[in-house]
Amino acid sequence: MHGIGRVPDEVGHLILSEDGAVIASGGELENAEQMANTVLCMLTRINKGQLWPGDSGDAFKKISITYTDHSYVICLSNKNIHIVKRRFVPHEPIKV
Amino acid sequence: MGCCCSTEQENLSQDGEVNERTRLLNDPVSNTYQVTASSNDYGNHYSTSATKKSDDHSVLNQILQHTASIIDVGALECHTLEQHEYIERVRTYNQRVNAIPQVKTSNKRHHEVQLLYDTPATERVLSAQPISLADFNMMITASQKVVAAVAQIRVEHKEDLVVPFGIP
Repeated sequence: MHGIGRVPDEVGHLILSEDGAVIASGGELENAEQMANTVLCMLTRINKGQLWPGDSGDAFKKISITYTDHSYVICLSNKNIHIVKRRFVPHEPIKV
Repeated sequence: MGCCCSTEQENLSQDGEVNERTRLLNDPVSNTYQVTASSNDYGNHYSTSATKKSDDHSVLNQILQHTASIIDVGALECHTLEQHEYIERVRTYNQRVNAIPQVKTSNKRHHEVQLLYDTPATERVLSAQPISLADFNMMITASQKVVAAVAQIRVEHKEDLVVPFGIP
């Protein structure tokens, strides 16, 4: 399963099944059912064709919700929805 | 007046013109010949059914003349398509339908995840570097500008909203 610490700057994780049932949770996202419901609504109700009508590409690899000091990264893997809360440590591009 | 014990004479109309005292119904007792007034004097309620139908027809024709753009559905003939005409129409409609760019609708159900695609490399995707600060600030400022611009959308009233069509 998912171990804490594999993702850098991680402060919480939440794993859902494809239909929204919570499989595992930990850290700051422990038992965060409200978050699970919100993410599930977002993933299932939004049609990519409606958001980007001109884009004919496939679905996204991951979705990030970025706040000033933390961010949630959502990805779909092995029929499970993985949500990770990370501290947002923005990096500056190296100017050459 | 016309009460039971009145002493006034009943003054019937001398000229035969219609006033408030003209008899509406024929006097059943009287032996004299009563001239029946025409139906136009008393309205359709007292006319016979035949004249009533002709009146209805004339009124209907008047209305039809006023609103000349009536489609009489009852008088339409039933359309029967010839075989070749049917085939031609099918071909034309299919051409037009195929000319429209198709919207790629996924075969997933409504409650399934449509936005993400399944990837086996979980941790690699989750551990990827977050967006740079420059990109983040650019997104914030750009969306703020968009919100401000949308708030400034106004409607310029140039023509009348309600326009009378050409009904004579």
